[in-house]
Order: sequence, then structure tokens, then C-alpha cells
Amino acid sequence: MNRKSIHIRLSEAKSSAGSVKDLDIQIGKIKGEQWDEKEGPTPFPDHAALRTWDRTLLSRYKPLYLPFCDLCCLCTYGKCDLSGGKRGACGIGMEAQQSRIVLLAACIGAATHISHGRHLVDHLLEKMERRTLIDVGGSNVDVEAPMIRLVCGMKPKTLGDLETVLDYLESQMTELLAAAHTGQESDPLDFESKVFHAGMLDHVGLEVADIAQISAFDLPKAEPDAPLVDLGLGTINAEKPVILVIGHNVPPAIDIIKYSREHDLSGKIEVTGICCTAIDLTRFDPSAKIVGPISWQLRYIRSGVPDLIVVDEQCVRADLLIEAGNIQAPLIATSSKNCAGLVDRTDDNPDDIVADLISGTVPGVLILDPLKVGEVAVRTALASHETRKTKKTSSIPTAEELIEFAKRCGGCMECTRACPNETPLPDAMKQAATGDLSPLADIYDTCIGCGRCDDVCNKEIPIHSSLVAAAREKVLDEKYSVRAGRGAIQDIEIREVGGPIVLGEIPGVVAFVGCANFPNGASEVAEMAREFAKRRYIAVASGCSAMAIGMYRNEDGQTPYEEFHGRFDAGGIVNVGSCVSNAHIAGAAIKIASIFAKRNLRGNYEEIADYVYNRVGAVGVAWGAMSQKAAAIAAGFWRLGIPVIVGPHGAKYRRMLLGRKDHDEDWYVFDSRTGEKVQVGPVPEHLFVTAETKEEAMVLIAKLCTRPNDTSRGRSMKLTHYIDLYKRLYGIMPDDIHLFIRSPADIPITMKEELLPILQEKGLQDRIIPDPTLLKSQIRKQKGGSS
Amino acid sequence: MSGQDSWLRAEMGGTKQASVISKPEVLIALLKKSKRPLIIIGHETISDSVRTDILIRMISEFQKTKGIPILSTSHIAGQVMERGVKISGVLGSMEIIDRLRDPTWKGLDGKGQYDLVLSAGFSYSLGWLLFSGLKQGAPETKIISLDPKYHPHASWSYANMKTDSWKAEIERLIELLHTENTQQKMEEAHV
Ligand code: SF4
Ligand code: SF4
Ligand code: SF4
Repeated sequence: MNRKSIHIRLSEAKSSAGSVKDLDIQIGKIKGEQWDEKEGPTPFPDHAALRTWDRTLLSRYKPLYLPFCDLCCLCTYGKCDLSGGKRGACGIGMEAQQSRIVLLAACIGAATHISHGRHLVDHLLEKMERRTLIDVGGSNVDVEAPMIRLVCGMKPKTLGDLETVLDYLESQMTELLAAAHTGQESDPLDFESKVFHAGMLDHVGLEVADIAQISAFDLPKAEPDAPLVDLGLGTINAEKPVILVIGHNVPPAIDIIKYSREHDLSGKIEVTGICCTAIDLTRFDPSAKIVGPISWQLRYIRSGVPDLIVVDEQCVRADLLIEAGNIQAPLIATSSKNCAGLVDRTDDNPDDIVADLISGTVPGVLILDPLKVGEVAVRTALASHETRKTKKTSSIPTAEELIEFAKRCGGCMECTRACPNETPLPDAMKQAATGDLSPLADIYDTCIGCGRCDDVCNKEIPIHSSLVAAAREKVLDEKYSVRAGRGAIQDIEIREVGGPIVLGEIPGVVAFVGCANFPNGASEVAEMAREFAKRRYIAVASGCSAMAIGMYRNEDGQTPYEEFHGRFDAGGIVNVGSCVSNAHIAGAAIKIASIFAKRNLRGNYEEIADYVYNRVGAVGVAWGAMSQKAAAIAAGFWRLGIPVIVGPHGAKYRRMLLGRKDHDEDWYVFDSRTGEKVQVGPVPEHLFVTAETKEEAMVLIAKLCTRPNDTSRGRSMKLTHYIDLYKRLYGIMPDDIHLFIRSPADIPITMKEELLPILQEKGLQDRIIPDPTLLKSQIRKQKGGSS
Repeated sequence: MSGQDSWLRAEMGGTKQASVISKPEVLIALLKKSKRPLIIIGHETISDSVRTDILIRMISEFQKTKGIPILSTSHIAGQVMERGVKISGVLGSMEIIDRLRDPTWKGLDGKGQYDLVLSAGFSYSLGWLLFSGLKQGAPETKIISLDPKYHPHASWSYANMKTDSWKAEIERLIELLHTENTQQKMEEAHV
């Protein structure tokens, strides 16, 4: 992409003749720091530049579409019935329509992260110099921005350099969104390729946002030993004024902490958070408290504990003003993306705003200046705490009230029919009416806190609050810890694990990411993470999944973050941070190619993705993926060749990318040493797949960590885990082991006796292990020619 | 509870909705027309203890009397086999739908694609998508949903039913399969 840019900044120009400080003029291509690495073929790529790579992947992993319904209703020609091979009025078919929906989701997700990045960078540049240095790990991190280097072909040095990256991302996003218009793209695979592009842009946007905030707010800089922070409703001291922050954009919350520090109020108020704002706030101040994932919004607010609610952007419930009103807590909205219908008081005197909030003249305000939010929030919370003492502020029923509510239940089943997890509420209500609250308390564990049951009960039972009431003891006992988000992975860590990962001797990197739309509660994520950490995989976590992992205690009373170390090394559980910190997970895979294998990153996407795909045994697990952002994050992993597993609700993304292990012909790679085509088996078998149960997910994780490059030792270790998990969780032997055994040396030694007869029956092979690539350009010695 | 609307209220099907299985004879008739039927079972076959016993008896009966192969999704194969049912294949729920929509798939026995899929034991929302994927990807394949919740994306489905009424229906189905099989055997013995 040819970038023309003129940028002139005159800070402190006093008069036409007087002193001009900080004159900063740039004309032409902005390239960040000077960089002598050879530029690859695709700096600032548009979608078409990487279309061939996408199609290479998509020829192996073909989309399976799972439409919600038969119809398209996107334009006024419609609705159109696309079932049974019919086409819409615009000519589109069902597969292209579904892939368009996936593209829209990925675009919404990527736009959200990119705009978050823009918002952060703009905000920071109002306060800091453009030339403020990017620093994500001091001398421990040389490759500060692997995604940006790889995609944009530039090495960002300063906060100002990030603007160039954002310009690129925004222009690309506009193009992608345009492709979803009626009468544009028509081919499902081209839509899918654009989905990949959105995903790649998303990861660049994530990286911009996180490296900006790490540098500017001095968040942990690639620290394996980042402090443990409190997690859970039970950790909060409701005797103090309590502020609740919700969302993803941390500056207002940071200004709350700063204001309280400056006014000697630290320790006198509780700053608590839900979702990624909470994670990022604890990266800034480990004394802040994380309440829990996104699904904790209703239960926490209804408990009446927060004296004030501050919302910013993303994953904030749209009914929080109502919920806040129910517990008589004022609400401050802080993002132009989520104004909540409130009057903009950004330019008003803080005294007036506080007075209006405390008197209840207004239920909430919009304040778009984080600094002012800091002051107004702290002052309002202090006063609100006092006034709320005399009011009924909890909407959770008492046990007696709950039993009375339960007696009203007529067993109509409407609540279960509204519940995403089809929880057995009517039976539990029946029991509760007799005084036995335990079935309702059990449902608390699997409830995702959506509140849909409340809305459909024609007996007006406050069902969700009833669950919280029934689980009162459990709720008070939610006292856990999570390691604060460490940010990037150090170069030295990559150097140490690069070899073992690429050779397969560390059996895999498993990234638990994404939201909290869990089919059976948060504990399943902890269970999976512990299983793989114990098996000496590297478990990585971010966002709500990182919290879910923390909400567990072993028999010794330790949370997983106490039980396992935080280094990017075998047996670790590594919390990188919030949603935007997911960039460091993809970044680690890319850094293996650059730091360990010395491949050039600069504008060299295809080669690096091919490297990661064939060599780095990494898998993403988004067990509760809910959002469009999660779709975009997954898409960024797909383009890098990293498979993603979602839970059963993830099937609602309506498209899988599945390989066919029964198609031998799909699994050839080139041996880059000779140019020969070599059959390597179905590794990794899928790029995007839903697992029905955690057991299925665990087996899939082990299986999807296999790569063509595994040494025999590495492969046999990976297979040991796969077979062991399969036998334990499925109760039988897997029927596809022969597909992964390239030669007798791959057979796990401890299982040899058991496996040999099976393998001999299927025909034991003796295939070479190639230096694998999907790209002809990577063949060093062309057949019949010189290298 | 009205019988023929989506069990999860917010799910909306489309222009073609499943016919309701009003009596087990319907299923027997459909099976007679099918050349290559397949049973697929999801994890709720085991995890939903209310349904487990009767579903296991039902699929065993299909297997014994009609020789229909059973494919289990998720991780339940071992537990189903412990109950005396022969499992012919294990694949993920997405993997089996992916194969069922491929006309060149050789099937679990290498003899070719299936024309009728009997399904049970999936959560409603997952079943919804599996059936929709198959309905769109293999419009000629018949899908029969045997769970007690109405699934518009199937070709044939039970209506939304109270557990007891559904169990009674399945008992009648098992009985019918059994009698029909005995009769057939007797007729064969006569011949
Ligand atoms: S976009 Fe096409 S298929 Fe969709 S409603 Fe419009 S004309 Fe119909
Ligand atoms: S709030 Fe909980 S119980 Fe109610 S519908 Fe949502 S998930 Fe189900
Ligand atoms: S919707 Fe209300 S009345 Fe109906 S079963 Fe649920 S709790 Fe009972």
C-alpha cells in the first residue's frame, strides 16, 4: 500500500516570530523507526494481497455452514428464502450469505478493537508527546510489536507511529465492510478470505491498543511474576464506598485510581471491575478487585454492593441504567460509543454533576473526559455510599421471600424455554417452594447471567435474583485470585521454548481466550487449563477466560495462578491480560518464527503464517465465545494457521472450518529442501470447530497441537497425551491413531504394545518428516533446477 | 405448552418446517423407504439421566431389529458401549454433519452416503444448527429428531412433549420395532 502522508505539528508556537518548540514535520511515507530488515512482499496488504494464502488454507479447511434460518433479510428486496439451493433477489446463495454474516461479525469485532485502539491513542496523544517511546518490556523485549512488523512492515517506535498503523487499519476495515453490501462479493470463499483479512487487521488493532496502554500507563512489562490480584464477589469490602467499572477502555478507571491516590483515599474506597476494564485496571493497580466475567454484571449489581457504576465500552449490558436505578446507584457513561441516552456533562463543573447524581435529579451522566470521570466518580461514590445506607439497595430476595416467590411458580416452562443453557428452573422452583434451595443454587453455577428468564415469567418471579439468593453462601465464598495481565512474552522466553515447541517437545501452547458464554459454568475452563498445565503444555489466558481459570481452588486451597507458574514455559498458566492482550498470544507464535527461527517479519505475512501453521503447535480455545470481537480474534488466528475450538454456543457463529482426515489427498505439503510433495496426515485436522463437551474439547486440544514439523520424539509425546486423554475421557481407543504415525519412531514408547497390533492392521507406514511448507516460494531447491 | 413451535422461543426456522411424528408407525414407514439409515447420538444421551435409559433401549432396538449403525458424537462412546450398544463410529457433531453433506462420502462402512439420519441426545440449540446445516447442505437427506422438543429444521420431529408422554411414545416405538421384527422373523421362518 502506497501511503502518502503529511503531518505537521507545532507544539507551543508562541507567536509568528517567537520560539517554536517541538516542530515535527513529516512528509511522505511514514515508516516508524529505521529498520534494516529486508522488506517482504506484502507491507500494508489489502485483502487481495493475501488471498492466495487464504485460499490455500480454505482448500484444506472447507467451510461448513449452519444457518440459523432459511432466510436473508439484509435488504428491502427481501426477505428471501435461500433454502434448498434457492437464490435471493440479488442472486446470492445460502453459503455466500452465511459467509457474509461471518464477515459482518468479524468486521464488527475488528472495528471495535481498532476503534478502541484509536480512542486510546488519541487520548494518550492529548496528554503525551507523539514521540513517547513504545516500551512493552524494556530490554527483555526487542520485538515490541510482532503483528505490526509482520503486517505493516514497519517498526513502531513511538506512540505517534501507531497513528499510521491505525490509518491503514481503518481504511481496510471500510473496504471489508463495503464488501458485505448487497450486490458486492458473491463467492463464499472470497467472503471467507475477507473474514481472515478482518481477523488479521483485528490482531494488529489489538496490538496497537495494548502496546499503547502498556507504554503509557506503565502496565506490567512482560512480567512472568506479575502480582496476584483479588477476584470474586467475596473479596469486596462493602463497608467501604464501592465503585464498579465495566467494559474495556481503562483510562476513566485509571483516573479514578489516580484521583483517589491524590486525595489520600486509596484503601478507603473499593474500586471493583467486571470484564476487561477490571483486568486492565489491576494491571495498573493490583489493589483494585476483579468481580468476575461479563456474566457477573446482573448478580453483582443486584447485590446492591456498588455505590456507583461507571461504564465505558464493549460487553456492557444495555439495561444497566435500569439495573443501577433499581439499587439506587448513579451511573456514569464514559464512551461516545455507549452514551446510554444520558446528558453530556463533560463541560460542566464537577460540583454540579456530583450534586445532581447524589440528589437523584438525574439517574446518570455522560462524561467524555476521563480525568473528570475520576473526580466525579470518587466524590459521588463517597456521598452515594452514605445516602444509600438508609435505603433498600439490594434487589436479591431473602430466603423467606424466595420461598414465597417459588410458591407462585406454575411450572409453565417459559423460563427454561428462554434460557440459553436450558437450565431446569421449573423443577428447581418446585423444590424451592418446599424450602430446599439447593437445586436453584446449583443452577447459579451454570447460569450465564443473561436475565432472559426474568422477562418471560408471567408470575413475575425475579428468577435470576432468586438464583443468587439461593446461592448466597457460595457467592460470599467467591474469594479467588488471578495473576495480573503480564502483557507481552519476553524474547528470552521465546528463545528458550522456541526449539521445544517447534520440535514438538513442549506438546503445545493452548490459549484460553474469550467471553463467558459457558455451557456449564466457568469451572470447565479452569479444569481444562489445569489439565494441560499439568501435562506441561503452555497454557495462556486472557479476558473473561483468564478470570474463569482463577475461579477455582484445588485441594490445597490454591487457585490455578498460585498452583502454576506464570512463565511462558512448560507447565505455566500465563495470563497475558485483557481482550486486547490477545495480540501477545499471536505475537508469541510470530516471535518464534522471528527470534528462534530468524525469519524476517517485515511485511512477510505469508511466509510467517506458513511457518506458524506447519511448526507451532498452538490452539485457541474460546469456550464461552459470545461476541463479534471473539469472532474477529479467532479469524486472526485462522489466517496465521492456528486452530480455534469453541464451546457448543460457538456453533452459533454459523460456520466451521473443517478438515477431512479421510481425504488423504488433502494433506500434502512441500518438503522445502527438495520440492517433493509429502503426505503428512491431518495435522492440524481443523481450523475452527465446535466441541460439544469439555471432554471432547480436551481431546481436540491435544490432537490439534500436532504439526507436520514435529520430530518423532515430539510427535510421540503429543500422541501420548492425545491417546491418554481419549482413553480416559471417551473410554475407548481412538480409531485414527494410524493417521498420525508417520513411522515406527512416532509410536509412543509406553503404548507400543497396545498400539502395534492396531497399526499393523491399518498398515504401518514409514514416511519422511519433511521441512514442511504449503508455499512453492519456500522451496529452496526447485525440482530439476538450481536452488 | 403448544407442541409445534420451537422449543427455545427465540429460534425461528423458516419456510420449511418439520412434520410432527404423530405415531411410531410414521417412523417405521420412513425407515422402510430408506436404503441407508444412520443413527447419531449426542452427549445428552448420557448426561440427561431422564432420557438415558429409554434412549439407550431405543437405539439398541433400532440396531437389533433394523441393523442401523450408530455414530456417537462427543465423548460418550465408551459409556454407551458399556450399556451393551455397538458403536459403529465416533466423530464430532460438526464432523459428521460435514460428512453427511458430502455426496462422495463412503460412510462408516465404506458403502456410501446415508439417506436418513435419526438423531437424539443433542442440546436443543446445538441440534438446531446441526439440522439446519444438514437441511441446507444435503436437502435430499431426511432428518428425524427423536428428542421430545420440536425441531423445525428436521424433516420429522416429535412435538414439544412432557417427558412422560414422550417416554410413552418411545416405548410404543420400541414395542412396534420389536413386534414387527418378530413377525418378520416368523414370516421368514414360514418361508
Ligand atoms: S441481500 Fe439479497 S438475499 Fe438478502 S434480502 Fe437482499 S436480495 Fe434478498
Ligand atoms: S439468567 Fe441464567 S437461568 Fe436465567 S435464562 Fe439466563 S442463563 Fe438461564
Ligand atoms: S416462567 Fe415463572 S412460572 Fe413459569 S416455570 Fe419459570 S419460574 Fe415458574
